Amino acid sequence: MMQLLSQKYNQSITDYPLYKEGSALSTIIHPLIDFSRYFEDETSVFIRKLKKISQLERLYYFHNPDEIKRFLLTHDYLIEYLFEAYDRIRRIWGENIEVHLEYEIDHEEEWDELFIVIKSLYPTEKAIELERKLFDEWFVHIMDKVNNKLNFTEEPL
Amino acid sequence: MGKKYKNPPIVEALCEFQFVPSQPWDITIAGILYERIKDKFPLKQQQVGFGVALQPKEGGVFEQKIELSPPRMQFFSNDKISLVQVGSDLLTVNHLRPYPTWEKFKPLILKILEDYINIANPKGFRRIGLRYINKIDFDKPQIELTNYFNYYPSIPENLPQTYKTFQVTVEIPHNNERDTLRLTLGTLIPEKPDAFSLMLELDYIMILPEGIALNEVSNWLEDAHTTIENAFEACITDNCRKIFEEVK
Repeated sequence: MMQLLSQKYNQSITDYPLYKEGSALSTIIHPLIDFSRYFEDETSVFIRKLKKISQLERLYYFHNPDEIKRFLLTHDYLIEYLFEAYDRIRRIWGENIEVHLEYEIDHEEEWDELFIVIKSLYPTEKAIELERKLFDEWFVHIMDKVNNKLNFTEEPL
Repeated sequence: MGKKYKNPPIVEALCEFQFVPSQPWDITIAGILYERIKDKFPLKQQQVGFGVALQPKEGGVFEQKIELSPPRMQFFSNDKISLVQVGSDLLTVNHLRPYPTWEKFKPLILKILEDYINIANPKGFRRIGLRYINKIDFDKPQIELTNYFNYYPSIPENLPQTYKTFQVTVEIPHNNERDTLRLTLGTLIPEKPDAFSLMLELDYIMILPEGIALNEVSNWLEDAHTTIENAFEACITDNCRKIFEEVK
């Protein structure tokens, strides 16, 4: 199990608080794992996608929920990146943050994109440092796969 | 033979088999099955699932334990419209839109099942489900449900007769409660603004473990399909049929 977890998230299993030696599993369940249980048994491709979007809504604050869900239905390759993003963000930024999703559209330019907005109480310099860390550790590796449809930024809480 | 439609609302049809194992799950089964079906399903993908189990402890408290579900392998056709999923004592054959007709889907299910049984040698079926998921799109933001459906939620008279989202499910027993037909009607996020979408899902399930023998599955599938087809037609009105454009 531990090996598979590590493979999936490309990191040491001991990075997960839940799996620290001697930790009580009855304490905090990692959100990503906690929410995964709801769709792990789903064998319908269509329903599984809907359930995943629904679970994302429990991880992120959806600013314009209908638009975001509609966008995710038509750009479903972004769904897994959003789960991955949430996991990365929590590990880099810690617990005292809010993670929002915003859908931006420019009809004249025929441009639209989903923004992950990380809101924290960190001083500006620290927040920028963490933003850069997230870019270097995660976003730079996936930016060619999200087709300019996903980006992230940070804001004060 | 059921009605044929020019624009059928089926977004996915799937048949799921859960098995009573005759031996501990062998992880090589998926690989052997892949070798047999890779001409039609060459694209493979592994899906890992996590689960949280509640384990009773002393004092009546429950401890949450993380468990890793056995990985499920998915084998896709080149166009990614059909796929086979294999997990621990689990086999699923899915077909996404466009649905190829029952006359083509059923032989595909039976062929994959035959291959699986030859490889895994299961003792019997623990559960079988034949499931049709329909998505019905309306180009207006709200509809009068009774105009399109004979199956819908009923809101008591003294409450506002409006809704934004809903989901209703009933389970209707069949064959002396060996099987059940699960009917679900619910709202979906429409793909276009100012539109309205509904999902009508029909799931015919053998809920009694080993309710049929392994060699009786073809007849069971035929009955399941006929029940689903009849239920679908019973749930919709002629206004719905106009959207789907019946072919006569």
